[in-house]
Amino acid sequence: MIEETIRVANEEGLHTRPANKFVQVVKGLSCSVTIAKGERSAPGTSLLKIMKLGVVQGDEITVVCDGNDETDAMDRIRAFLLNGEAGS
Amino acid sequence: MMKGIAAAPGVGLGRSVVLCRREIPAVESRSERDCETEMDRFLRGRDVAAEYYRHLATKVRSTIGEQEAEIFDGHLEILLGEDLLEDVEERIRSDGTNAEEAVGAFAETTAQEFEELDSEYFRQRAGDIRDIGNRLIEAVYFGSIQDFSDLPDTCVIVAEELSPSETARLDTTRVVALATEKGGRTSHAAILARALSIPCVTGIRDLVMHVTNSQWVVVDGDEGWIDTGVDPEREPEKAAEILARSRERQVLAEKRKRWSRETPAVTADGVAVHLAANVGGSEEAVHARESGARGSGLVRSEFFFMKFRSFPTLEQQVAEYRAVCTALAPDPVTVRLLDCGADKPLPYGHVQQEDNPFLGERGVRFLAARPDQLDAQVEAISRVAQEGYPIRLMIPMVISRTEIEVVRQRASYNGLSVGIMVETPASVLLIRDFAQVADFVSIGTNDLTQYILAVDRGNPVVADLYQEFHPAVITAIDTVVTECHAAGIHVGVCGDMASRPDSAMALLALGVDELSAGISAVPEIKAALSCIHSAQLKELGAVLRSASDAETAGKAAAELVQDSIRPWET
Repeated sequence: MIEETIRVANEEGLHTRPANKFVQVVKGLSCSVTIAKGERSAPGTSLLKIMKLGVVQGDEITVVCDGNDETDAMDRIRAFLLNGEAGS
Repeated sequence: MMKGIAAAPGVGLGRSVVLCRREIPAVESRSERDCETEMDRFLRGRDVAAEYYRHLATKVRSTIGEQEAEIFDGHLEILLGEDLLEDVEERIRSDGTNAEEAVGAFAETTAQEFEELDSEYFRQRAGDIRDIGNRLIEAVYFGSIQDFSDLPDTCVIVAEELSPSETARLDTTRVVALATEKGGRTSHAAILARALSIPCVTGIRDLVMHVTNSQWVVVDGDEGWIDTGVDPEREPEKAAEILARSRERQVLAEKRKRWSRETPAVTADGVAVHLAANVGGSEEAVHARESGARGSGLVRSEFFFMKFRSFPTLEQQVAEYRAVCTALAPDPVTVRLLDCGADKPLPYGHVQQEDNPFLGERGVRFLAARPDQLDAQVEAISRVAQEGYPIRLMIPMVISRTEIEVVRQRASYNGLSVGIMVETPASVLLIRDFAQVADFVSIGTNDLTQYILAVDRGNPVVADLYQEFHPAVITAIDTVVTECHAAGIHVGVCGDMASRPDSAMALLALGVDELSAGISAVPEIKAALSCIHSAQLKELGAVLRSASDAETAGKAAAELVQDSIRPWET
């Protein structure tokens, strides 16, 4: 299990569109992904729970990846949150 | 015949398609059926709703754009997501509720959670969640979702109101007219209708109660009424007459526009007047040019913003402002900063209900509280100016010098011309000071009259106290013109006073340098002007300044234009 705190640079934060793209990225991974903002957390596969975190540009969120491809997963998630695009 | 608000010009005759909110009867929330049957109903409804959102995303992708479509991709994900399924299943299996009730409870709870978030964007997603919930309930109960993209030919859309998602889905090639019960000139239906040149009447009381499906309906968007009493199959002459009258009106309108295009705005003794038009965006700018306007003294950028579900990007704004300039080139274009609020709330901008919206967060106050959006709009206008287009920026609802300075500081292009709208009593009282920091001034006579006289013109009880020729209003205009000329800057007017021949002449008599009228008023004002000598305007100015009541002043202006000719009719 690895954990990393990332400041969201994406201009739209995790609005409907980017959050859905995020979910689609996570669904393509084999490890489990959880993100947390403050004291609240959401599974990386639930668009609704992620949106309810209300993540906007500049927010710090904690990402936990747990499973086989966790290092690769973290790289892709980091790239997504910093650039709005998933690294491939 | 039913009266409403003329929201988009033209006359349409077609068969009605009534888009009613399908009512789900109040039923026992506890299911009579066993929970397996309820789950099955839910899952089948979810399939129907999912197909609907897939179809919607595909359609929006090809007609509007990728970004808009991706929002509906997100809605599909929410619909099929684990949260909805788990929550509904729990309610059905443990509480014994029926599928509709379970979906409704889930949507409402979730919507309320969104409403408690800090970010305005996320608070507004509550509406999306309720929308998804309602579509799903419709799919569960009826086994289908009304599809507005599958319409019969030459139909008239009749609705209580049209939401942005509904308007996006209409197959507008088959629609000859729109009629709605709610909404005014700035509702989505009205904006869409004007953009597509479809006649539209809004604000028709009890419309949906009185019109049924497949009835013949005439919609007169010039005069603001609809009529269901005409059947072209039984009364072909009457229907033909209506359409002939509509065509006649179109022919006359074309003649009027052509005359106006070919005729400069000058007085009988050859004094040229700058006559521009107010436009809502690039489509209207084309129309303004065809109607003989020289540029625009007021581009209502809020109409452009209202086409979107969230704030348009910098690039989208640049493209739009450039398109307005291109349509009106080489004449100058004045873009007013987003002026939402009061009677024009931005669907994704205003969250809090205000007790007194006309004294609330409107005009520059809205953008000042959203610096990112202010930056984006100022930057978009700056870029177009830097490209060499004659574009200017105008600030609405100014009450302090700081508001002007804040906007100017944000302009990346030093050569950008920054002006203000004078529409508050504060800006009249402080005009000498403001004229030092503004490059030009435009008087918004509608709000100025309303604020100076403290009269709500939309309130029928006091509407007759709303007088543009009131001595206080005339004095305010006179003061602004005198002070601005002393400071060496131009004064325009972009309110309704510039759109009627009598009051337009009064403005020129008071020394106003530029008129920006409603597009359709441009020919009339040119015609009135062509019959008047500048000496008569000077005389009118003296009468206006000394008049002690609105009647005297209004009568003097009316007498000046009463013999105006309509040269395009000859």
